[in-house]
Amino acid sequence: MKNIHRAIAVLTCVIPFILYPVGVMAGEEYDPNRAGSIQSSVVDARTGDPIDHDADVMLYMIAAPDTSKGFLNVNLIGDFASADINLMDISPESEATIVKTCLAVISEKRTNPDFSGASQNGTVHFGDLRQGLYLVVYSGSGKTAEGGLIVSPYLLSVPMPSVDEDGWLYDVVSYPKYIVQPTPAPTDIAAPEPMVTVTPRPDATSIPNPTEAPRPVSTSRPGSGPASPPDAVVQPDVDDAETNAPAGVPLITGALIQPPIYNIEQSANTPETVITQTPDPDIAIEPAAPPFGAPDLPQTGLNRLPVVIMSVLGCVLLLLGLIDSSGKRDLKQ
Amino acid sequence: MKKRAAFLIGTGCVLIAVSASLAVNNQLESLKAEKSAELLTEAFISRTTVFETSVTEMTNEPVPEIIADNEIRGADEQASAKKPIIIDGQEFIGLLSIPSLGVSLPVNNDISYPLLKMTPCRYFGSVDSDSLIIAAHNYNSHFGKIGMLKPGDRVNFTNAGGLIETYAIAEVLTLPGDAVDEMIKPEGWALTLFTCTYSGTERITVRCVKEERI
Repeated sequence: MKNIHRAIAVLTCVIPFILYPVGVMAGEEYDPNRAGSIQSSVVDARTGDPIDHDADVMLYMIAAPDTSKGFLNVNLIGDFASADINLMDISPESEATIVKTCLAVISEKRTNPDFSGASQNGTVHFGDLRQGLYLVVYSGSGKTAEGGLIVSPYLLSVPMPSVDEDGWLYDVVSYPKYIVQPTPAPTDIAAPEPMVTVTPRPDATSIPNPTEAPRPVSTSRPGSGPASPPDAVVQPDVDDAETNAPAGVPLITGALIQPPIYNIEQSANTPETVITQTPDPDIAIEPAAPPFGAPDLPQTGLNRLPVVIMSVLGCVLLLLGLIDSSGKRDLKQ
Repeated sequence: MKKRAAFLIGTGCVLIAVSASLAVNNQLESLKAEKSAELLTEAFISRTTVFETSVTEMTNEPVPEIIADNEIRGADEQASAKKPIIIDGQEFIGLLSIPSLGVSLPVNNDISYPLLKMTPCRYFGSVDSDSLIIAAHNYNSHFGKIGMLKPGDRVNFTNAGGLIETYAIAEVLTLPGDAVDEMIKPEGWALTLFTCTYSGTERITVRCVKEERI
C-alpha cells in the first residue's frame, strides 16, 4: 500500500508540473487498464480558433506504469530507459531538462516515434494510448499569415489528474504554446543561388550539438514567464510564448525548453519562406566548445614530437652513462 | 661515480623505452585510423546510390554523366542528397577526396576526439553556405600530408547523393593553435582543411575556393 500511495503521490506531483494547458472536465477514478488519448490543438488565444499550420506531430512514450511487482510503479521505457531522467524529482525547471534529455536520446538513438500524425486544421489526435508519459514533438514547420509557427516539444501524461484533483483524465486535450517566427521580407535574404539556406554565422562559443544548443528563435524560455496578453499572440517580436488556451480553459503551465533548430529557407523565385526543423545535415555547425575547450582549435596531432625528444635524450643519457662507466673502468685499469 | 653512470644508463633506457612505446602507439593508432577510414569509406560508397563512379574522379578523370545530371534531379532527390548517410550511428555528410595525395575520406557531421580518430570531422560551416571547415588528425592516411599541397591542387567533396563540389586550393598556411577566429572568420573560403603540425602547437590550414559544381 505504501508503494501505491508513493506512486500515486509521484504521479500527482509530477503531472501538474509537466503538463500543458489542458481543458479539464470532471475526473474519473483511476483505472489501470483504461486507454487514453491525446489531442493537441494550436489555437489563437484571442479567438480560440484553430490555427491551421500543417505540421507533423510525433509522440514518444517516455515512461509507463508498471504493476508487475504488485504495486504501481512508473518506469522509463525503451530507448529512454537508460536516460538520466529522475521521475521522482520533477519540477518546472527540471521539465526543461527532461525534454532536453529526451531529445538527446532521440537524436542519439534514432528513436522512432511511437505515434505520428499530421496536424489538420491545427489539431492532431492520438487515440487508444497506453497509460504513460509522452513527449510531444512538432517536427514540421507551421505557417501562418504572419510567419512560421513553432511549437516546442513538451511532455504529457495519460492519464493526468484533473485540476481539482478529484480524479483522472484519460482523454487529454492540450493547447501547446507557440511562437511565431516572422516571415522575413524577400529582400532581407541574399540569394546568390536559386535555393539558399540562411544560417547566421554562429559564435565561436556555441555548442554544435543540435539538441544541446538549439538556435533560439526566441531568446527567452517560452512558458517561463507569465502569460502574455492576448493581443501579443502572433506578434513577430514577442519574446515569450503566448498562452494559447481558449478563454475559460483552466491552465496548468509547465516549463518549456527553447524550440529546436529551424532552418529558414527561401527560394529566389518565390517570396515564400519555409521553416524546416532540423536535423537538417547541411546547416552550419559551430566550432565545438567541449571537448576542445574554447578558444583553442581541436588538437589533431599525434604525439610525435615527444617521441623524438625522448628518444634523442634517452640516447644521449645512455651514451653519457656508457662513457662514464667505461671511463671508470679505464681508471681502475 | 658508479651510481651516476647507472643513473644515466637507466634513465636513458627508460626514455628510449617510453619513446618507443609511444611510437608504437602512434603507429597502431594511425593504422587503426586508416582501417576505420577504409571501412567507413566503403560503407559510405555502398550506401550512396550514384556513387560508384564519383570515386573515380580521384584520378582527376572526367566525371561521368550520371553525376552531372543535377538538372534532372527532382526536389526530393536534391533534398535527400543533403541528408547525411548514417553508418554505425554516425552521420557522414560526404566524401572528401584529395587526388594529389591519393586520399579519400568520409567526413563526419559531428566532431569529437573519438570521432577524429576514425575520420575527418566537420568543424564548422556547410557546403551550401560555402563555409565548410574540416578538421582531421595528422595521420598519414588522413590529413598528415596536406602541408604538401600546392595552390591549384584540386579537392573534391561528394555529398551523400553523389553531388560533387570541386575546389581549388588557394593557399596553405599555418595558424596558431588558438586561432579560432582566424580559422572561421575569413570569408571567401568555400572549403578549409586543417590539422596539427608536427609539434601539435599549430595548425596547417588549407584554404580552398570553389571551382565548379559538377
